[in-house]
Amino acid sequence: MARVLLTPAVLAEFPGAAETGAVEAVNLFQLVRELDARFPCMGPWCDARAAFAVDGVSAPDWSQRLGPDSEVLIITRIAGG
Amino acid sequence: MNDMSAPPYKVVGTRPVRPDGVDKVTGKAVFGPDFAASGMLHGAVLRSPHPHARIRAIDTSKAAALPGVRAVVTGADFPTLESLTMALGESSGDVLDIARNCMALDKALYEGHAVAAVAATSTLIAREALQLIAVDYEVLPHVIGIEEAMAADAPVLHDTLFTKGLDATPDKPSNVATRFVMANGDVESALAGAAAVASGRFTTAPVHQGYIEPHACVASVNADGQTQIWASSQGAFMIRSLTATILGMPISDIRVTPLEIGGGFGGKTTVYLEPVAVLLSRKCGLPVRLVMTRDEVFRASGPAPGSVVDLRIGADKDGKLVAADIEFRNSAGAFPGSSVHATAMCSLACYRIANFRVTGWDVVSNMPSSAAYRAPGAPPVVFAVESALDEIAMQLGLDPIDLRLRNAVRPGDPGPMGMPHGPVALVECLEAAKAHPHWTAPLAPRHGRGVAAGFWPNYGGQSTATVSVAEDGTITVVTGSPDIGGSRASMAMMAAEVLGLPYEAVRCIVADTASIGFSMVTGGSRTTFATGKAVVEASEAVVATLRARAAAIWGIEDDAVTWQGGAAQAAGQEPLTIKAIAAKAGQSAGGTIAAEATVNPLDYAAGLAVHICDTEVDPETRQVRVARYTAVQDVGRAIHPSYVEGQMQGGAVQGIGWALNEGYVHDAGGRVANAGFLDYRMPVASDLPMIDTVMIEVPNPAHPFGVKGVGEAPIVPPLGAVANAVSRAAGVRLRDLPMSPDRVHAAIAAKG
Repeated sequence: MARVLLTPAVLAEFPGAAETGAVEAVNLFQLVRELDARFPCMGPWCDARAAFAVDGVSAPDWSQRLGPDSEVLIITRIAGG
Repeated sequence: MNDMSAPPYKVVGTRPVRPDGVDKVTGKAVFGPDFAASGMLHGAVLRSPHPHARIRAIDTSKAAALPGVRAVVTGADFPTLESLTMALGESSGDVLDIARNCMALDKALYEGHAVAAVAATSTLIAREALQLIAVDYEVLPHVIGIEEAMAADAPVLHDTLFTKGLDATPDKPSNVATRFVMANGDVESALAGAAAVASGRFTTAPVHQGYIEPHACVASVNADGQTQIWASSQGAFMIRSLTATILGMPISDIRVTPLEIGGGFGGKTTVYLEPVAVLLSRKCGLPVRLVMTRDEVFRASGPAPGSVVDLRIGADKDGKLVAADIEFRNSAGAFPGSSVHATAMCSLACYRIANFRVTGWDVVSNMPSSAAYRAPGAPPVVFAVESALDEIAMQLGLDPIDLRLRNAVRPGDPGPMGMPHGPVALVECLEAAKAHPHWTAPLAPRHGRGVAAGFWPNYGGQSTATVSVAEDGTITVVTGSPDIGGSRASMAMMAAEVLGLPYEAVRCIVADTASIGFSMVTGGSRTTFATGKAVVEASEAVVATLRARAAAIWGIEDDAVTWQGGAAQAAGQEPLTIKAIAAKAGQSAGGTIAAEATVNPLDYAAGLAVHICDTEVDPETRQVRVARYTAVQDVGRAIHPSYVEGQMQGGAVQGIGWALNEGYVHDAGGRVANAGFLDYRMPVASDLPMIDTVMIEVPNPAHPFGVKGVGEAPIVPPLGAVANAVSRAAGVRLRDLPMSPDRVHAAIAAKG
């Protein structure tokens, strides 16, 4: 079960997701599907606006395998200029 | 990880002439407004004279009947769109907002908001036609200022905007799009126990990016729907995807050709004209050019948000920061999205602070929709934080650099979003600043000296590059990243380094969207890092092919061949140059020697900068003169040092303008009062001293040459550095930007 941490900016979009806790998922694709099932529209939102870090490291590849103790941090993408 | 200790580079780190330089200094380069297509019509855009008005009706019949007019469009010509958040380069946006910003439908939300457009056989006819368009406006009360827009009785721009992030879901719309809080520890207890506390309100005005070249494009739509767009922007693929989505077109029907760009600084990472030009061209079947005037650029393209920041920062008696409480409000303009997340992220990113609370508000008002501007969101809040640190240093009698060194983040420290900091080099920058002669030079009378630091996360993301070997062994590099800061040179240099060739043997071009794979915008200080990685990967693949070809020619194993000095080498063999191998490409099964690489790296490293500024305050006029300025920055590895220094100098100068001169001024009617470079005063070369630069090279181990983004970090410290210098020169803290003479005078007079 991956532990999911949401930053305040994400919680502003999905306030009900504060208690997300652990999610059973083999990778980030599945994790996002699970989150979308719990919180409507979170899947498309993640597609467009989320960035992920797994165990403190940015994760551009959503197929990256999640371990049973993985910590997944979801943040909003930051635009540069 | 690469060993960066003693790089044996022959090309990287040198300063060759940029390949696009001759065209640009001789006027041959084709910028956005220069491009012309055969049979092209000239467009013009009608803009709202009111900052807030309901559009009851638009009658275009007289304009359409004017001889020479070939097409007229209004918001009604845009397809019906649902709100859709879509990925846009590094970040995202609501395509409905972007479409409405291109052209109003039922409401004009700021003075200058487009309400109709015309294509005609001449610009004069197009402008005459605009005067024949009758718009029936119901003028509504407007609101410009941030706090006025947040007031309970403020005119509401969007009936559908309900604040996100409040404890209780609001039951009515407002101008506040988002509120969120980042917090850790016990701020109040820590502040109560602090030996020194700096507090106050800091404000900054909305400022424009000030690019010299206005927005411009030409669109040409064929009867079968195939569309070409020629435009100057920071991302041809961005134009393609946004235009296609806004107009409901297949992306493959649009081909965007990038033209030379005359400055962007983040302001050309969205669309304003392109969907309108496509609609006009679709109606008349001819190419249509739209070019903004300077007045339109100021009134209708995105400024950086203004801000109001309240803060309290405390330190113990030794100067260790113990707590920070920051509440900022950013003005998003007409549509939500004022970089509040970046503002929060960058506010305290330079320092170790155990207890913090950062509250951010994203506020809309009747101004042009804000757009990215170099390190978007960071400079205003960092101005406030760095000013507070200067006050704390004064309270505790500490050297301002020592105070910052005592609290500076190190690699591995917790980052602002929870992830650990990568190879940050703030300590190295601060130590270099402290060791610089500028820091200890005697100050002249009426002069003050300020220092400030700044952080920007930078980015990586998707890029594509191809590297191909010509018949004579010379090289062409193709990318999809518009060259806004010398990237053609740096890409060629990285390819030359990998291939073992002189810089002059490699040429780099920026391709159109049909000729190269997807690449994100040139923004976020990502191009030399991410596109550079793609170029290096493609170059390495070409080298592998060259070695294999040489092995085949020699009849030996690939592994027995090395690549050095632009030639294949093997024991007992005369070296085979790339020219010799390329000449035999037609005799090999593989044929042409070329490779493409697509990358999506997120192992980018943050940029850190420390700036020192000396200012003089005129005792009579209170005008501020920058007497000396030094910019120190960790640049990872400078591929082309001259362009890196140019980025540092450019960022510093734009930040100085933000601090001293620039800011939108609105009249009582909500109209921009200074929509031109005469009244909107940006610094020019004669205003400033030479900006001295010090490059610190702490390589990013995730890049083959150690590259870190350099384009945005240098605009983060100047606001604070200049304000600290002026405050020390004036003997009173300056908290409001720009620090115009009247404000400086008022602050000194109030002090008595």
